Amino acid sequence: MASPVFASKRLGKELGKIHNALPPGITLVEAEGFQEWLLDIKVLDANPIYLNQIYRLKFKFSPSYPIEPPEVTFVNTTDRPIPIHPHIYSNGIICLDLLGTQGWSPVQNVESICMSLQSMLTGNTKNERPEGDAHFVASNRRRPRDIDFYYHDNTV
Amino acid sequence: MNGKAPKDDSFEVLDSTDWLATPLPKLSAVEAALRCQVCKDFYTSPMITSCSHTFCSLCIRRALGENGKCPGCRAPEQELKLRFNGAVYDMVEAFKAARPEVLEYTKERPIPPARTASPKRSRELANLEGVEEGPSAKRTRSSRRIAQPQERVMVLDSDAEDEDFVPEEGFIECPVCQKMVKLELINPHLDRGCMDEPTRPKTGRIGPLPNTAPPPPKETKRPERLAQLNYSMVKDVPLRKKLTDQGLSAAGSRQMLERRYAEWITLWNSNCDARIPKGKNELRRELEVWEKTQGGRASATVNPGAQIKEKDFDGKAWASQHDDSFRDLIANARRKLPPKPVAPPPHPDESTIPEPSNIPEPVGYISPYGTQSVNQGTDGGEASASGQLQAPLHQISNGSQTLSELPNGSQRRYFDEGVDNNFAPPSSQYSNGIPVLQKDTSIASDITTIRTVQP
Repeated sequence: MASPVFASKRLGKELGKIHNALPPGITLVEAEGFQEWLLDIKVLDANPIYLNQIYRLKFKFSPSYPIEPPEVTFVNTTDRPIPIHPHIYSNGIICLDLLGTQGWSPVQNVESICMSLQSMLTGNTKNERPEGDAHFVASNRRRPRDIDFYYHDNTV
Repeated sequence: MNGKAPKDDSFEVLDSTDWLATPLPKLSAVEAALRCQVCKDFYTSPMITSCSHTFCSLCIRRALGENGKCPGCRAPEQELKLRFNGAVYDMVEAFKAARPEVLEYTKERPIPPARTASPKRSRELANLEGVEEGPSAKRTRSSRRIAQPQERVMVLDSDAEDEDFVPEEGFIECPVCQKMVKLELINPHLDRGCMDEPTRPKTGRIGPLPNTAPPPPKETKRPERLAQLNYSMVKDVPLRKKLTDQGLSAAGSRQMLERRYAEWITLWNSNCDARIPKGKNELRRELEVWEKTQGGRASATVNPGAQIKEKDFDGKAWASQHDDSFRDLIANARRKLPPKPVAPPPHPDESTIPEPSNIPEPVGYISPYGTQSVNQGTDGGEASASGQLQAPLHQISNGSQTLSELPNGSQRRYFDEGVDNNFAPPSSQYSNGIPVLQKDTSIASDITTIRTVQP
C-alpha cells in the first residue's frame, strides 16, 4: 500500500549500502532497477551438504516493499544448484515464515534475508527435500507469496 | 533493529558513506539512529509505539494497516496508540540542519587517499587523521563537488507541478523520488540519494497555496484525524459518499473503494502527525500516484486463514471453538451418503434406481403418463376414476404394459419405494424386498394404499 517512491527510495538506500559492503559469503550479482535483484550466497562453515557450493537468490520486489515481503527464490543455473534442504523445494521455492506475510517485518532487508538463509542452510543436517516435493513442483502454478505454507517446524 | 544486530556500527550508514570518509566516522551511527528502520530515511513525523519503537508516521501506519504488528518487535499495536515523538523530531531536524555544515567542515580535512577503500580502512585512516586540528584552507576537488550541489541543487518545488502536471522544459522526473529536477542536476541529485528534500518542508510545502502571503508561523487549526472504518459494516453507498466527501474518486470495484479509502486515511492521518501538515491537494496528488501504480493491482489484502498459518497457532483451541461447526459438517456429510443396501441388488439395474428417500424421482420417471397413470398402469380399468379419463387410460395401460414387461419390474419397484417411504425406513424394504416384489398381491394392496392417500 505504498507509492513507488516508497519502495524505490528504500531500495536505493539498500543498494548503496550493499555496494559499500556486504557480510561475508554474500555477493551482489545484478541489481538493475528496483524490481529484481540477484545475489549469490554461500555457507561459511564446513557443513558437508553445502560444501564448496554457491547458490543464487532472486529477489523480486513489489511496489509495496518493504511493507510487503519480497519474493525470494533460489535460481538454478549451470553452476548454481538449488540447495538441498527440507524446506526448499527443488524448483527453488523457499518455505520460510520470514518471507511470508505473517513472518515478514519491514525492518528486514535484502541483507538480513540473505543472512537468514545462510543460517538456515548452516543449521541444517538433513540432506533431503521437503515432503511431497515432486508433487508440489509438478503441480504448483502459484507464485510463492500466494502459497499457504503451514509453518510447523520451529527448529529451523 | 532486529535484523541489524550483528554488524559493525560503521556499516550503519545507509545511503551515504560520507561520514566514513571523514574524520568523524562515528557520526554514521548517530545518523543511523535518526533514520527510520522501514524507509531508511530520516524520520518524518516520528511516532512512538506502545512498545517504544519509533518509525515515521506514514511507515508505521502502513505497516499496521497491513498486519497490525510493530515492525520492530512484532508486538500487536494499534494506530490509536501511536504518539508523536517530539524529542526525536527535534533531533532529526537539528541534525538535518547541521549535517551539510558538519560534512563540509570535515571534508576540509585532508581526504583519505582511497575514497573507495573499504570502510574499515578508511575509518582507520580517518581516525589517524582526525587527530589533527586547525583550519585548513585547502579544498579538494571532491569536497567542492560534494559541497556545491548542496546549496545549489534545488529540486523544483511543488509550485510548478501543483496545479497541472505539465512538465517544464529542461526538467525531468527523478526516477527515485519522482520530483522534477533540472536535467543537468539530475545526476548530482541521484548521487545524493535525493537528499535535497530536507529543505522542502520549510520552503515548499506551504507554497502551493497562493494566497498565503505571510507563511503561517504556526498552524492554528490542525486537521483532524479520520477514524478507521470497519468495511464489513459499511455498505457501498455510504462508502462512496465518504470518498466523495473527501473529494476523492468513487469509481471502481468495492475492493478498490476500500483500498482507496484506507490509503487515504493512512495518508491523511500521517499528515495530521506532521509538524507542518501538507495541503489537502498535495495529499490528493500522493493518492493519485498511489492509484497510478497500485490502484489497479487489486492485491489480496484480505488474507483469509492467515492466522492458521502462524507458528504459534493454537490448533486445539481452534478445534474446540469450532467443534459444533465441525460436527454439523460431519452430520451433514453423513446424511447425504446413500444408505447401503443390505441385500445384494437382484439385478444390475438396481444401481440406476434413485434413492428411496427421494420421492419426486419416480414421479418424474413416469411423468409422461401423468401421476394417475401409476394407479391405472398395473391393473387396467379397475381404477377408472372418471369418464373423462377413459380415452387416455387406454393409451396409458398400453404404455404401462411395456413398463411392466421390463425384465426386472423396475416400474413396480417405484410403487414399493414410494409407498414404503410413508411407513418404514427404506432400508427395511430392501432387507425383505425380494419377496415383496415377487408377490403381485402385495403390490395390489400397496396400490390401494396409494389410492386412498391420493384420491
